[in-house]
Amino acid sequence: MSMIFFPPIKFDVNEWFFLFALLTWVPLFFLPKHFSPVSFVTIWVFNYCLGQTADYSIAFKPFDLYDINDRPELEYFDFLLYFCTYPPIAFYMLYIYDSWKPKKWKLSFLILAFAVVSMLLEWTSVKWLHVFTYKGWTILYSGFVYLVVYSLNIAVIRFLRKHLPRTVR
Amino acid sequence: MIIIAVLTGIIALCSLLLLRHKLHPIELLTYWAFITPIEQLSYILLTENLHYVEINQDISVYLALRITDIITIPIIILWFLATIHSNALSVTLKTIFFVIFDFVFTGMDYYLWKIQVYTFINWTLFNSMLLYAAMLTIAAAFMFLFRFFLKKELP
Repeated sequence: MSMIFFPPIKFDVNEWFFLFALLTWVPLFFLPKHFSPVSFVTIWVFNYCLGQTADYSIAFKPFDLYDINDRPELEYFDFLLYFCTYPPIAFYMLYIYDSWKPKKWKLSFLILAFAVVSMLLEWTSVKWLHVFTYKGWTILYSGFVYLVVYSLNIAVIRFLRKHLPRTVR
Repeated sequence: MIIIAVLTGIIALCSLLLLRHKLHPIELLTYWAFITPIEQLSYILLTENLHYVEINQDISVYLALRITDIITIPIIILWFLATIHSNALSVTLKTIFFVIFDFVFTGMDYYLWKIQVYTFINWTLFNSMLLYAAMLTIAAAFMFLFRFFLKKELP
């Protein structure tokens, strides 16, 4: 059988997780406005790209290290996962970074803390919510990936600071 | 094949030094981050969901395609965006460049099909042309929208 996007086999806990995960965007809109539209779009698109690139590189053939949601094929909810669930945590981390401007060990601690939080969320989504089904992947590998992801996000916010006027960030 | 992919990737990355003069650095990053997932999505949909194209599963071929998908093709599209946003070119010339870039990408698909990296099950080069035309159009639309907001924020 072939389709452009597959529907879930059953609308169950992993689909409800996605809908619940949309709520993580809500606090962001109540925080004092911090990112300009250009910064917001750049960070959002960048994290969407990172999440999708990582998953497409190792979750499909020839590596096929894990499945996302119900099927090995791409579902509607898989696609929405990259748009809506990966970026918010990066925004919160960058909000904290941009507000407090930690340096050296404090910056390392911030990146490590968010990597641990992301690992916990992923472990929850694997163990109880069946968003991911590991076929050769482990949560420890995800930890290293998150360290790289959040470090890249720090590089992006610094890049944006460098190239956007000081009054608009 | 991986050597060719690495070489073209390096050439594409070096061309960014020239692109910096045509597009704002934030545009380079944002457009690359926008284009790469679209390109990857089309690849996954065609191979995993629709099974219209089969890809040689050799690891070196896979790595070569990854380099092409993440580096080479997005940077070529960045060159297309730099071309069409140029005020020096007329609409006719921009349309011609659109067709040229479309043919370049279709030519890449043809080359990959000829060396048996791709096997077309229910797919043709004309479909590739349409796919890349859609990709270029979406990229251009995003560029015009993003530039609208970027101009407001830059002095």
